[in-house]
Amino acid sequence: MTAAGLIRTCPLGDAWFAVSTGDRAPVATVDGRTVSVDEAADAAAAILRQARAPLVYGLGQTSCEAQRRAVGLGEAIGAVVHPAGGGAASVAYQAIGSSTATFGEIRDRAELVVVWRADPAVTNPRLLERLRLERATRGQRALVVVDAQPTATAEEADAFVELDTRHDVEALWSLRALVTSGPLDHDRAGALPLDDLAERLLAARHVAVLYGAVDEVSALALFSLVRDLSRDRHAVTLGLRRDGNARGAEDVLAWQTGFPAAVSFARGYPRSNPGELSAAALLEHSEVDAALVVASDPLDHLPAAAADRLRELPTVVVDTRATATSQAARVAFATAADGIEVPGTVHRMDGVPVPLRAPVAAERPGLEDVLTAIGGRL
Amino acid sequence: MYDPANGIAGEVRDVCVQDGKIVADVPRHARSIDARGMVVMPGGVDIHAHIAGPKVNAARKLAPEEHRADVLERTAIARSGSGGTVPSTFATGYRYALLGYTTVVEAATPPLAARHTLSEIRDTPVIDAAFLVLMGNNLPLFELIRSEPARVRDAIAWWLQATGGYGVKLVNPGGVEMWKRSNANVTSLDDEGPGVTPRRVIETIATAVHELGLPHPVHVHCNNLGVPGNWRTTLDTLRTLEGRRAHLAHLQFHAYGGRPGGRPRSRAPELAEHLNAHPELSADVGQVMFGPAMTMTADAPVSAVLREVTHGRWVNADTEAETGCGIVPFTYRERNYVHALQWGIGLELFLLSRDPWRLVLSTDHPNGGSFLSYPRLIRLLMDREFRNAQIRRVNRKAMKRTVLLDDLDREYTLEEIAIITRAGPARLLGLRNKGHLGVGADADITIYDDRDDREAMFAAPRHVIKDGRPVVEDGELREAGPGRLLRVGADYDPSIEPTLEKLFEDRYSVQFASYPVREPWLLEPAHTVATEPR
Repeated sequence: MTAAGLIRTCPLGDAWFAVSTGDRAPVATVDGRTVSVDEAADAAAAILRQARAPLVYGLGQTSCEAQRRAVGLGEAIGAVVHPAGGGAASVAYQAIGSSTATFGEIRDRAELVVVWRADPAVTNPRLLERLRLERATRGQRALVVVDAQPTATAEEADAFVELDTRHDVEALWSLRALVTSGPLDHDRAGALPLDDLAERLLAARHVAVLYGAVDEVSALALFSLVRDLSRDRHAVTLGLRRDGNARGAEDVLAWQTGFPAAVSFARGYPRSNPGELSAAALLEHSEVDAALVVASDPLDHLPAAAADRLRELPTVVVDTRATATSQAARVAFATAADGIEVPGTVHRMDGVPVPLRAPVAAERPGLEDVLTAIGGRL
Repeated sequence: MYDPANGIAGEVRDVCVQDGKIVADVPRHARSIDARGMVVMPGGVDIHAHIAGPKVNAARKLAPEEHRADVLERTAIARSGSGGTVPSTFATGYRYALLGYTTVVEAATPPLAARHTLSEIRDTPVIDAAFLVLMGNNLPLFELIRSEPARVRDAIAWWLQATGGYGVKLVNPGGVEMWKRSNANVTSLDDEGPGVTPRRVIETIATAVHELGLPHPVHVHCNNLGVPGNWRTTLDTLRTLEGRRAHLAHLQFHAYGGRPGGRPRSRAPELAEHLNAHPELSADVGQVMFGPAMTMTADAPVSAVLREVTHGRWVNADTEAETGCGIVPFTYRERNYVHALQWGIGLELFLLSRDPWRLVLSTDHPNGGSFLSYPRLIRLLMDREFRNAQIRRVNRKAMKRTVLLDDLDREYTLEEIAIITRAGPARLLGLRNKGHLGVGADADITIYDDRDDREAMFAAPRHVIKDGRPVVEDGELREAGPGRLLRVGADYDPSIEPTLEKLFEDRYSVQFASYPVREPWLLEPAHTVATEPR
C-alpha cells in the first residue's frame, strides 16, 4: 500500500505512509551501531535503571495503547512524564472549565467559527473540509480568523482580524465586555479591531472558537469569553494540536494519574505542577539525567538551551520515524508504523476515539512492543 | 453468611470455592479461611456509578487539587494513582475492591466514545465492569423512531454489539438534543421540540429493550432532573413505562414537589408508594452525602443550571448525534435547605421502600458523593440513633418537609443491606453469576468483621475474594489483576446495517465502518450475557 494507492490522504498522511515504504532506519541501534532489539532493550533498560531523574517525553505521535505503556514505564522508573505540547489550556481548564464539542456538532451547528491563532489550512489540512468550513461548502456559516498576520486559513475566511500576539488577553477581555455589556475602557478597546467580531458573536446562535498556540492567560480569557457567550447562545471551543494523538496522551495520563499534563513519579506517586515539571524547565535546570523520548522529536522543537542539554544526556528514543533526536540518541528504536503496520486507538483533538488499522503486516516491533520489552527488563 | 438470593440470612455455613466458582465441596487440603464471628456476603455490585470514559476523565482533569490531596503510592502489586471524588482508574479498582465491591456498572457512555470507556475499564483493575450506552438523544435513532419504530430493536442490538455495552440508558430523552441545538430543554414528556416527543422515545426504546430481552431493562434518567415539581414527570414516566420492566436511576433527584423556580418539597412517599405497587419497576436511590461531590452527567442543561448556582468550574461537552455532557464540582452542606432536603428524600426512599430487591443503594457516584461514602450510608440505614443524631444536625426546615422527624424506627438488617448492595443489583442487572453464593456463582466474596459500628465494618472488609482469588486479606490489597468486561450478546437482523449507515452519513464525523469496536484488547477478557428475546 502506497500513498498513491490511497484516496483521502493529506500531506501529513502522505509523509506518514512514506515512513513505511522508503529506506527505513535499522530496527535498533546503540551508539549508532545496528544491534538486535534485545540488545538495544538491554541497553535502554540499563540507562533508565541507572537514572536518578529520568524524563519520559513526547507520546503525541503514537497510539493510546503505546502511551499507556509509556506512562507505566515512567512510573516504574520514577520519571517525569511530559507529553509534548499542551499544558497551557489545562491550567485554564482547571481554573474555570470549558465548553467543547465534537467535529460533527461544530460542522452541523456552528453558525460562526472563529479561528484564534491557528492555521488549520496548513497544520491540519483536512480540518476545514471536515468542519465544512471551506468557502464552497459552508453556506451561510461564517469563518473569522484572528492572528498576527494573514494566514492560509485567513484566505478562506469571511473576515480576518489582525491582532498582535501581545494583545491577546486585552482583546479577549474586551470581547467579554462587548458581549456581556460589561464595563469597558472604550479608548483602549477602540484601538483594537474588534467591533465586527463582537457583532458577529452577538448575532450568532451557535458559536465555535478553534484555538491554536495560546498561553495560560490567553486560554483563561478565551474560555471565559466562551463561557460568557454560552449564556445566551450555544458556544463551544476546541484546541488544535500539533501531534496527531496529543489529545490521547493527555487523556491516558489523566486516567492513569489524575493529571492531564506533566507528571512526576519521583516520589512513587503522581505529582503535577505544570510550570515546574516541564521538560524544558527541567532540562535547562539540569534536573534530568536520562531521557526516554517516545514518538517525538524534541531536538527539533524544544528551546535551544533545553535541546543542548538533552543532547548531552544518555537518551533512548522509541519512534517510527528517524528524527534529529533519534540520530543523536544513545539507543534508538525505529518501530513499525501505527495505522499501517500496527493497530491501535487515537483520540482526535475533539476527544473522539478512532481506530487505527494495520493493513500491512509488521516486520518489526511496534512502539508498544518496544516499551514492553524495555519495561520487562527494569 | 448472608446470601439473600438463596434465602440464607445469618446462618453459619461453609462456602467452597474452586476454579473461580462457588462449588458444593472442596478437598480437605484446600486452603481455608476461618471466618468465625465474621459476616460473609457476596461481593458488592454497584448498579449505577460513573467510573470510566470521557465524562469521567474530563472531571478528573478538572480536579487536580483533589488528586494532590489524596495520592496512592506504587507498591509491589499496585500502580500509583490519585483519589478524591474522581479517582484515577487504578485507584478506582483498588478502592472498590478494598470496599468489598467486585462488580461496577458505568452508567453513561456515549456509544461514539466506547473505545475510550473500554480503554479505561482495561486500566481499572480487580473489578468486573459493564457500561450502559446513552440512547435517549440519538439522532439516527430518533429518525428510526419516527419512520420505522419496529426496527429500533435491531438498531439497539447493533449499537450494543458495536460498543461492547451491557444495557441501554436514557438521559433526559430529547432534552439534551434541545440543549445542544439551542441551549433549550424539554419540560414535559409531550414536548415536540426534538422532533419526537420524550414519551415516544421512552415508549419505543423501552419496548425494544423488553422485546430484545436484555438482561437489564431500560435504565432511565428522567426528564426534569432537579427541578422542583419533577415528581409529576417521574410519575408520568413510570406510567408511560407500565407493562414493561424499567429501572429508574437516582430516584432521589426526581422526587421533588413544589413549583419550578420555587423551593422543592419531598414527594418521596408518593414515589415510594408507586414503586412498591409496581413489581416491574426498580430504582437506585442516588443518595446525597454531605461533603464534596462531582456532578457529571449527560444531562448537560442541568449542569448549566448548576453553574449558575456555584459560579465555579463548569464543563460542557457535546457529542455529535448522540448526547451531551456537563460537569460541575459541588459540595453538599448540612445547613443548606435544598441539600438537606435531598439527603432527607434519599433516606425517605430507603426507609419507605417495602421491597429492597427493587430499591437499591447508590449515590450516583460521584454525583451525590463518592462510593467511599457507602459505609456511612449503610450506617444511616442500620442505626436509628446515629441517623436521628444526623437528622438533628441538618437544616431543620428541610427535615420538617420530610417524614424523617417522625422518628422512623426502621433499621435495615444485614440481610437487607446484602440485598440493596449486591443481591438486588445483581438480579436487576440480570447477572446470574453475581450477587449470590450458590453453587455455580462467581466466587466473589466479601468477609467483614461483625462490628457494632456498621460504618467501620463496611468501610474495611477483612477479606475480599474475586473469582476465587484473595485480593484483600486482613484489610490490605494482596492481588490486583485485571477484571472482566461484562457485555451483552444481542442478535440483530443484519439488514439494519445499511439503514443505519445511511442515517450515519450526515450526522457523524466518523465513518460507519470505523464505528464498531472490534479490537480484541479492548473487548477481552469479557463475560458475555445472553439475551432472552420475547
